[in-house]
Amino acid sequence: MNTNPNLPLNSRFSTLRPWIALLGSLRLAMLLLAVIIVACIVGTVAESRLDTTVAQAYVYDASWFIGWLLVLCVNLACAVLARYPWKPHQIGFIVTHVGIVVLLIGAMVGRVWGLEGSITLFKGNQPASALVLNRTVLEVHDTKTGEKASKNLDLNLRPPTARRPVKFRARDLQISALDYAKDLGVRTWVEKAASNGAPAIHVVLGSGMVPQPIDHWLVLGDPQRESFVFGPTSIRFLPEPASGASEEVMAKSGGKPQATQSPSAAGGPAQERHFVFSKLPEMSMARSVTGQSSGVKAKYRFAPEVKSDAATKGVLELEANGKKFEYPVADILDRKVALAGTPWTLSGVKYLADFRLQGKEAVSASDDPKNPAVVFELTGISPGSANGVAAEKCEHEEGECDHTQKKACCPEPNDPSGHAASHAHAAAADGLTVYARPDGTLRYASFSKGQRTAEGNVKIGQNISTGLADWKITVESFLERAAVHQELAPLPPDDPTATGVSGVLVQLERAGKSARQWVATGTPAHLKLGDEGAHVSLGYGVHPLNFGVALDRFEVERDEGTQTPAGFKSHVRFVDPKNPAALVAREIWMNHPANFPDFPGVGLWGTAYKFSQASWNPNNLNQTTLQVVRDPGWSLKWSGSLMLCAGLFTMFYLKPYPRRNLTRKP
Amino acid sequence: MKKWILLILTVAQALLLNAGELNLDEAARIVIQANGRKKPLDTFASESLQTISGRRTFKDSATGRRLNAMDALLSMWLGTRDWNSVPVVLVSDARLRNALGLAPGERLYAFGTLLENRMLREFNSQIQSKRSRGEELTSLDREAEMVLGRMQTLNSIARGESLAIVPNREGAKSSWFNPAAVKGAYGEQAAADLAAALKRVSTAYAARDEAALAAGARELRAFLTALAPAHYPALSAINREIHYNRAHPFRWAWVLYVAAFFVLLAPKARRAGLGIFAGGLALQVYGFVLRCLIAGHAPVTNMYESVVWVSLGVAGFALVFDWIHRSRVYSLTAAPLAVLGLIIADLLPSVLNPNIGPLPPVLRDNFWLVTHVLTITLGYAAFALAMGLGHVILAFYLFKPRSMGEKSLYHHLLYRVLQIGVFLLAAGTILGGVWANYSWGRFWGWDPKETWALIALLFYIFAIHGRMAGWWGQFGLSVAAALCFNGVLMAWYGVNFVLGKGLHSYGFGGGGLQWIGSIAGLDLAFVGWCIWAHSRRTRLAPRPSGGAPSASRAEARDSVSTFGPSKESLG
Repeated sequence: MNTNPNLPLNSRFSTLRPWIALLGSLRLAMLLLAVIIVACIVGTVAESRLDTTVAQAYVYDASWFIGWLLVLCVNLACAVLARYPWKPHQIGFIVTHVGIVVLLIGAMVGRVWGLEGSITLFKGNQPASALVLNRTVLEVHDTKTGEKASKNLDLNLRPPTARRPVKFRARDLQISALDYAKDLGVRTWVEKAASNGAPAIHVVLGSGMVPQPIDHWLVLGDPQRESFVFGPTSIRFLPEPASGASEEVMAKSGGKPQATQSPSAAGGPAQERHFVFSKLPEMSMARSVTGQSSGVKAKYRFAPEVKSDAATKGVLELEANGKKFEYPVADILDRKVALAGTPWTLSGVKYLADFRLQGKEAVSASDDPKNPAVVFELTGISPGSANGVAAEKCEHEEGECDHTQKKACCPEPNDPSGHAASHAHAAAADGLTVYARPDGTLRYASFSKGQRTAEGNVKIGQNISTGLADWKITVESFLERAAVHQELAPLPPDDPTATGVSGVLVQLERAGKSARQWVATGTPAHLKLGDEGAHVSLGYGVHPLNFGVALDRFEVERDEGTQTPAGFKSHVRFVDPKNPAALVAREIWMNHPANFPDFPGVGLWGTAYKFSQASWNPNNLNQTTLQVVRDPGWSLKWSGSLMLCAGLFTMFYLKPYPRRNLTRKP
Repeated sequence: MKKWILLILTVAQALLLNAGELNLDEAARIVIQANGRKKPLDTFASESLQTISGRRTFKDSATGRRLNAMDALLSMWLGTRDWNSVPVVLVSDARLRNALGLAPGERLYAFGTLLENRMLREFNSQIQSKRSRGEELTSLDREAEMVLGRMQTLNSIARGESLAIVPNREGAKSSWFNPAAVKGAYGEQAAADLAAALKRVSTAYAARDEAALAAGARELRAFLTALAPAHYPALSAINREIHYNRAHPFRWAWVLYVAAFFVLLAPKARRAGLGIFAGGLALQVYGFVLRCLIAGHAPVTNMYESVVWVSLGVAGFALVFDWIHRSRVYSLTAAPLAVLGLIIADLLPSVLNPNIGPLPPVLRDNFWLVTHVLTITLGYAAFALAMGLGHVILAFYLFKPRSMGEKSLYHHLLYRVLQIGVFLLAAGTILGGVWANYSWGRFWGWDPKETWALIALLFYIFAIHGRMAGWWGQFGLSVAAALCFNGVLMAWYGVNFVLGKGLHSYGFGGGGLQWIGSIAGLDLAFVGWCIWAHSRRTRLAPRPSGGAPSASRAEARDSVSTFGPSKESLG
């Protein structure tokens, strides 16, 4: 490329020329292209195998990729400059490459100054004037100084950690996000209380059915914490019954100490949950949900390697009231089957190929029949003892009952339904019961199907031989007076109570004082710092609009004769608060966005807010979600695109093209 | 060779099908509302039989007779035989057949057999519970779900539930009724009249009395039209659709392309060959016009339409380039490609669904969308042609190395096709951004489909710039034309069938993947062989002066400014 020495620009240009040639070199372009191609392939594969956010964070939105595109931009610009002075036949080349540069600049402008959010409108509501942005923001409002501060957090990919905290200030208040948790829950812990508190024990349960031991605090006399129902078994912590009361009677009557006092017990409606295992017949267990034990015996025969068994999922054998029943499990799944000649009905039959306890839920870890189990329920009338109280009638309101006094504490006949399951001490006879003696020692007794399997004194930190399947239960500690505390805290992984509420650990510091607390997404918290404090909230970022938008009507068009949606249309109203009389009604539907403020040629500039139909709620047709975009780079994008296409066309087709070599060939 | 005989037999069979059959044309003209569209019973019959049995005709294993779709539908609906025990429901997946304990070696099973199947029942309850818990289904679950869907289709035809043939007076888009619902909509008299009309059709059909059946169907149609004359489609539209169903323009098009290919191979038959080729193209265009008229929208909806459209593009580009450059290599290359596309579309209806259905909301009513899709798929077509030409050139290098060189005219012919491909793919990708700006609000969002269109474009741009930088010559560009098409394949097929979430592990996506993957692998091996053979030959033999790297680099630098074909190709 020779330069023309007569050009006035030349003197200055010539010193730059080697640099421009280098930056605009074809080799650099090839390198840039190759890396972009590889990055895009990696990005799409990452998106398909992992997640869109991963692809965005590590490729498309990553600073190195943006930087790479900027270098490409420079490369293209230099490639054009390096050919200065331009000759007529280069017009296609120049327009094409400048077009790409303009397009990329437009993309950068849109990235930096553009806005992308969404707005959900409900019919009949006041005009909304805030966009929800697709990013998480930690906001702090200092109640002492009135100062507000906020910070964007990338909780998915770069969550704050102790090693890499996110810090910012609101005047003299130092705010740090120290940790992030996917699932927050209310953590309860028990501490030794200085004065007046109920006795509490800390028990640890282990079994082959759970991946790791589970620990739990049981508090005497606390209706929510005195028992713990766990899969087929339960643990209770009760005051020791008087010397005359025998545990067997209690167990048979549903583990209620008061049963001994009730002279008129009779059979009543009962519900019982059974767990039977083909590999371990001795692990088969039954747990009363309501009422008394049915006395039904269950056995599960299943040999997965036998083909006929594989189809039927084995055979469930039941023995009730002296009658024997046999069912292929596949035939009774999720069905109700009355056991003829007995008061019992079989229902809710579930087959679990690889039985595991996940939290308190019985699940199948895989489809391989490694530990085949059947779970089912029996409902019916329990036989009852001639002089017992109908078990389900003996319910009481929480806290009403005083166990230390052995009197009938639940004489109310009306049963608040649903309480039965939570009152394990009242309903679930089977399992382990730990008794607190007045002298401060502990005793235990365990029951299976109404039969006592073991009893003895509890030694702290030593295994209790329970005789209940393979359960290993240890009382780790015993507090005579305990205080129960509650706090928002991260849940352990795979916790079944996880609700998906995430949050960050926030610390505030000012003048040597500090406060620390977990803050959940969407639930503002107040952190105290001396007398004053700060409101802290974590949630989606919000962009205020200087106008309002309201939904008048939402329409869903369906394909004829079907319920398949064919189109969505939002009838909205834009309201300018300065001029409330001037309402602007607009219709927004697929491929037909609305701009506000609207002016001629608005679509070409992209400087207005553009509202596009984004999603809908099939359960609420008075609701619509619009995507809102403002893209100041739009005019550059489309004009660059136009140049690119025009340039390509010029380069390929508008150049005088010699045809002399076009001879005939076969 | 066996395959060709099979193909020809298939065609012949399709042509001879009507011979010796009961004429059901009048009954075929009865209109039904199904799957979001009003259509002749003829279309509904084919679609239903396709769904149930995987084929558009049904071979009765008991009698050995082949029933056409209308015949099968009428006998299912009117109950002239017990379909409960006829093996007609497709269970295509061998693993599923095994899991259900079905007799091996069959693909079709009787409704009754499947209904009794305990394992299938369990699949059903498992699928339902998984769906309610929002869990992902396994591939076997999905296959079972498809079988259950087929049974449901058959059952609702036998019970008359899905036969919404009674028009609704209330509006053009309102739901039609099945015969059982007429009483509620039009009163007892209408219900009695309809029952009588149906009875006549049924009796005539059972007796296989052609004249009575035609008269009965005409009467029934007149009765239904009279219920809502304003909303009953015109006979001309219905006839057009039946014509489209029966004429098989795309099938005839590929037959003509095959013929053209062989004629073009003969030394002095270029005109005749091109004439036949143009005939095929005209048939394909005719089919497309019919399809657009029936569907009421441009052919941009699904994979079937895009495959047929790309075949059309390949043939169209070939004919135009052939005419401009007077080289039959274009038509000879395009014919097998177009045939391949059309045969895949014709013979694999379970993978490429040829049914005409309503558009999803986002695809409706947009100028930019139509221009974008048509442009970008034409870009695919150009690159498909370039891929074919690349292979032809590589084959010459391999088998007739003396006839090929850097200066060969074929390189120039290839370059012209690459140009149009780059232009159309670039324009199509950008138009996609313009459309996205309207429908999704943003111009570019690194969606996999967008990104792969860009990657494919960058492949070709990389190849062309590498040629300019002198990193490779014309041979390299031919290799690139063959290889870069994998990028197009990925953007076209791969994003939907391989990368697509929830689809990649399953069903026809997976099945298709094996085929396309192994073909792409074989092709890579072929290209690799060509490169190896070429490099060996150039190392052994002294290079011709024009092909020396230093010369081509010097020449390339010059051609940067012109972006045109190299001097070599200009001779």
